[in-house]
Amino acid sequence: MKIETLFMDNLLPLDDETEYLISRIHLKPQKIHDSGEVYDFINQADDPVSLAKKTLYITQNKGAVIRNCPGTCHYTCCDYTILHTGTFCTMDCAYCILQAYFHPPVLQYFAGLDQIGQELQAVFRQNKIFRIGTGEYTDSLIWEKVSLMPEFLVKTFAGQKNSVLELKTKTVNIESLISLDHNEKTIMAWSLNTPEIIRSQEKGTASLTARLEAAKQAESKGYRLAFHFDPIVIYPGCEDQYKKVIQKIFEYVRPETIVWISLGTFRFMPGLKAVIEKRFPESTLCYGEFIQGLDNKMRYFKPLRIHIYKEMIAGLKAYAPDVFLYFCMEDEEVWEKCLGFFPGKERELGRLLDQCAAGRCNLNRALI
Amino acid sequence: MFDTLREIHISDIDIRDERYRISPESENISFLSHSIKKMGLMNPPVVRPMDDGKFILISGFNRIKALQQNNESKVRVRSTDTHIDDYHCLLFAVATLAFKRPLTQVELIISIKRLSRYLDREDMTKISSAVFNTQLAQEFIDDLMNIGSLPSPALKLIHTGQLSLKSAKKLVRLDLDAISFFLDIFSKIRASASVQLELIQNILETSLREGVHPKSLFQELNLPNPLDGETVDMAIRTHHFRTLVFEQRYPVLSRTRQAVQDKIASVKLPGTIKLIPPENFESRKYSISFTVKNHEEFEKNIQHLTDALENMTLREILDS
Ligand code: SF4
Repeated sequence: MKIETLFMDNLLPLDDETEYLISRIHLKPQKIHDSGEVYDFINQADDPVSLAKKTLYITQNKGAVIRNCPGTCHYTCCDYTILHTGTFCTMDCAYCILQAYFHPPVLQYFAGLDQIGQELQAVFRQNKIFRIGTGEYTDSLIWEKVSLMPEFLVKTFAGQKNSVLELKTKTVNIESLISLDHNEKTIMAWSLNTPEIIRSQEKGTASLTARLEAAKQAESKGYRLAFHFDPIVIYPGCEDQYKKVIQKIFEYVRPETIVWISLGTFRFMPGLKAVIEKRFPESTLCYGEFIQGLDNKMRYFKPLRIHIYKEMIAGLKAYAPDVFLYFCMEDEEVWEKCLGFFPGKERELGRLLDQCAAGRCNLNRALI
Repeated sequence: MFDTLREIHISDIDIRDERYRISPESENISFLSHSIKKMGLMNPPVVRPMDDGKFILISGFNRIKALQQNNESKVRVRSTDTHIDDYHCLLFAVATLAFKRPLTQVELIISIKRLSRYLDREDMTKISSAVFNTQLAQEFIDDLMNIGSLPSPALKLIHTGQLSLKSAKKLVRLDLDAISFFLDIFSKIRASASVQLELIQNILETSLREGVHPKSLFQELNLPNPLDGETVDMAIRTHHFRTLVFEQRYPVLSRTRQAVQDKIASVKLPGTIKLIPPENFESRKYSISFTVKNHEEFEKNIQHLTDALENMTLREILDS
């Protein structure tokens, strides 16, 4: 989606990073004194979410740059660390939680490579493994064509041995990164789905083939890879469709370069349903068999989740028996029935993922 | 605005002209007829004289009908002056009733629909306290106007309590075929407001998921519609229909619930002991409870539970 309006904090200095960004967006920024002006601009639209996707606000992160991922109670979380580089997204997935998460959603780019660099150095000095991602409140690579940030991050991570950077995306924006010396400390991760779901629910994202071609290219340059089947959508024939996606992954890349693959069926805060119904009237996403989970989010009825997970895991194991598979936000029963074990101890899943990261990305194993 | 009381022939009133009528017709006016016979007419109807020497009613539709039933030929009425306009007659009809007792939902809808010919929603909000005896928000007026545009028998169903305002508001957004389909359903069942909403939502969501129009959902899914044909009692019919709709919306969940209930029944625990599965099976926690009046009953229940330890079906239920 093309940016049509550009706002920028009045106090934000024009430096290499912001100048580069502005020059590539080809818009003159409107300097503002108060972020309220952006909120007001977005809120006046009939569909603030759509307007927000075309309105970029270059600002500074006033909160914590590095924070822990907010897992939910009752379901096992992976102890991820979030590098907060921006919010919202220019693509338009029907199921995107960010539509309902921010009121209103604002497409923010947090400038300040120095600040981010300093915060990261503090992390790198700790005696602990970190798995750090930028794709929690945005897509990691939407700004790759116009920003120096992704390149800066890959280079910064290349110079240390206790953290991996995971760039999670549905784009194929890897051009500026492909020839960097990443020192195996960056994992290029793609969210995957069936072609039908990509076509019908993931507006503006790259096709499955394009994502896998990008993954292949990244692999050829030594990058480590990860894949996320999230959200898995249950619909008639989905089992075969997801198995075909799995088969296709391994037509493009080798299992040895994959650090992990996660699986998570579609789940949503009840408030998202009304947003989807309004913005995507054709979407039938919310009309599956959803029940209220123990964390109050809507989830597929558990036997349905277990069924699709089992099918997919069988497919994945057939191609890549040694790749670490994990669930995003599932409970003991699902883990045990589908993967045969449950990382029930505190931070256990995090430790297992740290081990994968250390093994495949050449981190300091003594820190595990 | 009004002349004094006068006596007119009932036959001079054009009772088919109901332009100021805002209350649905009462089906039974025998009490009113009887009361008039015994005590006479306490409140005279209000009429508007027309150019042809006839009158039309502004208020008192049921009273005139009751008088006709009593074979009366004349009635004392209050008559408006001759040059009063339609708008003021309507205002008078609404306000007279609203200041006598709160208007019912249907009366409110009819009043707003009729007044909308003369006032926009903003003006209606402004005068609402003076006319309706209550302050109405613009949004509520919009909703009532939309509901007022629903085809028949929507108002009748609202009047009988078979269609709540919230459900009617949901129907307004649908196409005419779907509206008629739902109105037909609600004319055949009697459900609480929350069950009505559940039915609308489940039918619409199932239809959207299956890619069929709600009105052909049952044919497409090859289902007998429990509302077709002669089905017993309204409450049983409603229950069957609700179950059927839920089963279509949540087929796997429904089947799982039923299978577990069947298994629990086959364990044959005594009636005092309840084994309740986890809600929606998201957690694994079954709850077992029993009630006792004395220690002997307590012992008996413990014995039943001890016996159940050997029951393989129970093991299957709890360990599945
Ligand atoms: S790519 Fe991710 S962040 Fe962007 S719209 Fe889709 S789900 Fe949301």
